[in-house]
Amino acid sequence: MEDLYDTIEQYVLGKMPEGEKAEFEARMNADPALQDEVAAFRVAREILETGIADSLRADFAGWQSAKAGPKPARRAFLRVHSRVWAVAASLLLLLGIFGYWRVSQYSGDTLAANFYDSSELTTVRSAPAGQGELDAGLSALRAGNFEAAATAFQAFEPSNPYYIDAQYLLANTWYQSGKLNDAETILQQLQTNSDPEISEKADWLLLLAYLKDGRKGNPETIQLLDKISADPGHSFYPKAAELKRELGRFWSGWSR
Amino acid sequence: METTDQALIEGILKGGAARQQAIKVIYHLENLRDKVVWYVQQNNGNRDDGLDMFHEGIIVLDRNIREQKFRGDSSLSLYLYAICRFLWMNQLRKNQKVELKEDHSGMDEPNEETPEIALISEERQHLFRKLLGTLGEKCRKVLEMWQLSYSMEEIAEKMGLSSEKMARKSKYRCMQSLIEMVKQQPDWREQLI
Repeated sequence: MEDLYDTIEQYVLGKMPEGEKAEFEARMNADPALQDEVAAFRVAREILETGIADSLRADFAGWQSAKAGPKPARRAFLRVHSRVWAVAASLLLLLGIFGYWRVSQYSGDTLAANFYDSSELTTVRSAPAGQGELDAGLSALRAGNFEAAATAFQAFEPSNPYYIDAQYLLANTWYQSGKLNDAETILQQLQTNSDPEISEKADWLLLLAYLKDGRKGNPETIQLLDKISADPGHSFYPKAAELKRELGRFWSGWSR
Repeated sequence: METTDQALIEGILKGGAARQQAIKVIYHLENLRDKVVWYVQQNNGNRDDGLDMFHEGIIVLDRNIREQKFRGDSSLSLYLYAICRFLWMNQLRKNQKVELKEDHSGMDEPNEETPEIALISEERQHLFRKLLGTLGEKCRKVLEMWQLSYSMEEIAEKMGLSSEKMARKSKYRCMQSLIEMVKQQPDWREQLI
């Protein structure tokens, strides 16, 4: 059967040599069960493409929120103080385009978006089939349907063995939808979990939440980044080291 | 990353982080995005509709490149723009607002490659998502990586499986489950094909 799927795959993807293709089609014409296998295989590929498209939609939502301008309240503040800001803007010009470029390139938002990888978003521990709510929530999250995702994850009671997984995914939902305070509350609790896989994932997402919230230089951010990047056993050690290098490039750029 | 069409196509075909990076570069082609938004706004849509079409266009572009449906007869930008226009026209037809305004974007060129686009209804997508949910996260991940042309070695590494052989076995079992799920759907031949 394993070989049959490989053969069907070659046929469906048009990678089968002409001679073999004719032979396979003749076999198919004579065998309705094989016809069904091929048809179901095509549908299965369509189903997988739906998942791939949903993952991309989630990425777009993340990239878009990273690119979004200042918050409305801040825009109002800028309007009221436009004269003051006009003077400030002329002073800022002295800093030059180079400085502006470096700030935007290394803004916390951009860094968080670059380091957040929704394609790696999965249940913390592999849930058996039947954990429909968890998977349904994850599908909704991938599709950018934050409300449905949050509802699904919030439905888990603390007594449920997958409560912690649901909490982690709920934190991701809040993170992606910009409800960073809610994400932080959950992640700070998960940081103390005895399972290192959970606590380390919580460490990393909390760090990204701080960055996304514009707290790049704050003590809590630096402390957490130092903690992860000082522990080679931490599962996010390589990413933290890379993030530290990025931030280092930013600061060294200013001191040059 | 290099931003030539060739480099972007190679990135998408390579899969993994290279694909992600290539898509990110395409996503940030602001001129192109603005043209798509402008076209949609000129044709009964708003900015959000335009952004949606740009996003959906990238999804189609990614798949067409992976499935070798993009022949390279036009530039990647022109091709993506053509996809987005097609998707919006299709949306308008669905909403029965078919009177389209002329395109002055300068991107409606005669040598533009006509994109091949497979459209899936909302109902079917909903059912597909439900089936993916039932399949389970691990299987979903293995099969998606396989669909994105990851090697069995890479799948084993990413999924923490002991060998390439185990990855192959896992892919086979997951595919078998998914195909069985498809066949268990009532009237699946009529409804899903």
